Amino acid sequence: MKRILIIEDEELIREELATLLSNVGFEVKCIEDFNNPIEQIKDDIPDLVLLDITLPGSDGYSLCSTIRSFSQVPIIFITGRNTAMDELQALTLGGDDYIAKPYNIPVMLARINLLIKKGKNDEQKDFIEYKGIQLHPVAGNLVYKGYEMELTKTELRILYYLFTHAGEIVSRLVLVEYLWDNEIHIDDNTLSVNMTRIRDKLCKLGVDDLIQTKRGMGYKI
Amino acid sequence: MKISEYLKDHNQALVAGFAYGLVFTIVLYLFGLNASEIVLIWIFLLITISAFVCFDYIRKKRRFQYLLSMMDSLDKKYLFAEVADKPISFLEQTYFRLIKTALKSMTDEVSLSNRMKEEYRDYIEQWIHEIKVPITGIKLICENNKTDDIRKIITQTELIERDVERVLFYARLGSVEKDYLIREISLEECVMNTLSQNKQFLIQSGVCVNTDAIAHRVYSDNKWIEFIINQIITNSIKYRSDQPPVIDISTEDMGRYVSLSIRDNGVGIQQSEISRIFDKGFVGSNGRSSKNSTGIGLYLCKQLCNKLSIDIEAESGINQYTTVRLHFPKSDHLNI
Repeated sequence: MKRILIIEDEELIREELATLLSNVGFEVKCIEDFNNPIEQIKDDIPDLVLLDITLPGSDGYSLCSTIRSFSQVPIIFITGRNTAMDELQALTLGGDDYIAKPYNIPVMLARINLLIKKGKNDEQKDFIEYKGIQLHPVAGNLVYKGYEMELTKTELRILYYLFTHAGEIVSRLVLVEYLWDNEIHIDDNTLSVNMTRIRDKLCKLGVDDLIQTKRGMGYKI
Repeated sequence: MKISEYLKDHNQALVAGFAYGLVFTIVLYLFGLNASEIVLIWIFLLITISAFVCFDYIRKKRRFQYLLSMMDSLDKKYLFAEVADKPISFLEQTYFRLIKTALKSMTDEVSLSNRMKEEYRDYIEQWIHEIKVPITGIKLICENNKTDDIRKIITQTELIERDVERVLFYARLGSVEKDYLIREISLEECVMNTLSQNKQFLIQSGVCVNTDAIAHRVYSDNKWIEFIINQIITNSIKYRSDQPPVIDISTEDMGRYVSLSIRDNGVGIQQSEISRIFDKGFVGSNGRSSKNSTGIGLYLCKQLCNKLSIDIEAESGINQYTTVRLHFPKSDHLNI
């Protein structure tokens, strides 16, 4: 599990950020005592540092250059200041990215993932299988008993979410939100249209009733 | 200055001169001078006085013409007394001194008001940075505890965030030069960031956004561009028609510039109003008939576009669509 270190003096934000990041599967450590942060970082070098600029004691900029003197760990500045000068300074001092408050949460998670994955192998499997149906996210198709069925980008995303949440009831709102997080900006009606099309395609493959509709609650496979 | 005005100005001296001449004439007459001698003295007196008057009139007129032309040529007119060459008379010197005193008190007043404006702006900027901390807190708490009610809170928070942002950009309008970082940016990324910033608000509005045709990269500042796109999209939702809202965003390479168009299927803008939508405080019939419009959003967009050398234009069909286009110039030397 990847380890993220949060250096932020605002207690509420630090804790909520920690909850958020551990919910999406990171191991999170926070610095609570700002007397000697460098020692705490040196003790246990994380895979990524989230660093605020305004801190008690030495500010984020000087902390960043100190960290750079002994480690190349990715550093993302998280800050309320968002002038061009701040951004420029953050990046020239060796920061890898810069996220202004109030965070745009999906964007922040995407950037964290991007930096953490850099140079690492993606352990993702080629396909996900459920009840003998294989979903190939990279090729963008469904395979069942040797037959293939092409999927559009939207259909692929919907099925991917349902496959990775098999057995759970997925509400339409959650599905729409997931699609928006993945750059597909559709409304509820368009989701229905896509669900109908997915069902047709599954039908053609010979799979009936894979996706159940739970009235007033959502979908389930 | 006309000669009549000049004479009017100096009538007391002239009257005194003639009265004096009259008294002398009487005295000389009593001393026994004859009429022809007195006429001679009068002729002499008139010639002297007219010569003096003519000389003084021409001198003053020239002086005035010089001062007037200098005032005309001055860019900062209040510097007049500093720039004019030495006063030619004691009277003028006094006047110059008065002008300078007035100028000084005016400059004090102006610099005081400037300083207050500056302090106010600094305070606003600082306040915005402070208010962002609790907003971030709310967003994070909501994200960690999502329910249907919490989603409504997120929507409201997104609205607050956008208004706060607007204040910040308004406050910074005077000093844009100090705050942009031009680099190659992806328009797709700008649009995506804006959409995800307003995710809950847009989902709750039931909008569909088509973003498949955004491809180009331009040289600009992403922060400002995202702000502009945000204002335009917000307007699209605000002035939606009865149909489910659809927004098409696309880019196109037009040769000399890259065009980003944002088209909605909203109520549209009347032809007679379209030229004024970027004016400060302009609230068209749409704004008056329903929503709480301030006439600031598009004005800010236009101002920012001017500073970033982007052309912004709008086109609309009543009850059909509104398209806002941003033209990003392509600079030849950037392609080398």
